Amino acid sequence: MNNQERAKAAYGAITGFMDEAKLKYDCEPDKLVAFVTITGDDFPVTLMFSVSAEKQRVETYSQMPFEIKQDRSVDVATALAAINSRIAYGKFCLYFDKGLCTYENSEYITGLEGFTTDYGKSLVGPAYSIIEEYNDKLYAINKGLLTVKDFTASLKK
Amino acid sequence: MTKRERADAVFKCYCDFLDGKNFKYQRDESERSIILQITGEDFPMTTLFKVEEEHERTFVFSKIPFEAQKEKLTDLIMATTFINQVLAIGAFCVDTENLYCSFESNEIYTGLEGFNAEYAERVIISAFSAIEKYNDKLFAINKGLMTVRDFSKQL
Repeated sequence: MNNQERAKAAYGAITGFMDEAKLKYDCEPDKLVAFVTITGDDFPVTLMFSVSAEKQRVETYSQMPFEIKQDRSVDVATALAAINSRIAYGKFCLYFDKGLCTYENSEYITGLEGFTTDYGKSLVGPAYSIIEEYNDKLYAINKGLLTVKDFTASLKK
Repeated sequence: MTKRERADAVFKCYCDFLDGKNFKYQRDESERSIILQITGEDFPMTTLFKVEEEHERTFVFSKIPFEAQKEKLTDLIMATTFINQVLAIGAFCVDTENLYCSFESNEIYTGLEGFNAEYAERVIISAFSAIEKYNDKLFAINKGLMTVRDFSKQL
């Protein structure tokens, strides 16, 4: 299996899982990119999965659907540090200059084979669950409705 | 391939890679964990690689070897936020309770096969490269020798 075939197989595992789960998604097969929006308890979560044959990586990216206020950026960064210390997969990032908060993950596929829909599920499921768990808290912190202290205290419970 | 066989194969590929490169490391077969210490240009980097059969992933963890000063926690949080923006694999974390910074990463291998030296090299070396690149900067920020502003300009 060469790098291009491997990248296509990884992409197929992700879209295959979304087909199995009857998730509606947009995709650009030539670019090995797929977008899926899942509406959870509060905000819709849009996930982008991108497979790079060159880098031999599967990348997950999701932008929180609100702009981070400049005067809340330290609070949000502090909350993200607490979250990143706890989550098992990926990381939340904050781009101060753009007011963007994202969830990102990257997995190597170098030399690997056997990309099944189970693999796709293991990428889509945790990413969605993690974002769903924290996006409303980040929104509340950004809006000044929740303090970082209260948020971090809630994580300990 | 069962979950157990897969976990064994992943663990073996890491060990084979490290053995092939003559790295000295602590290996726990029953836990499928490896503790590897590499001394870079400055700090020794001790990193745990643990293959988790149940979750079908490799967990990578490295504690940066200094205690975070309480009054520098916000600076360290800001610095790691900047680092995480540009880091392709893994994340730097700040534990504000236990006062340390860490590098953490996960590699999911659900259902996969073909774990070879090239795969092991990417997982292991990318972790060390990230740690080696930023541990001294975090140390300097923690010591007040570098400002977050100056650090962010370098990135």
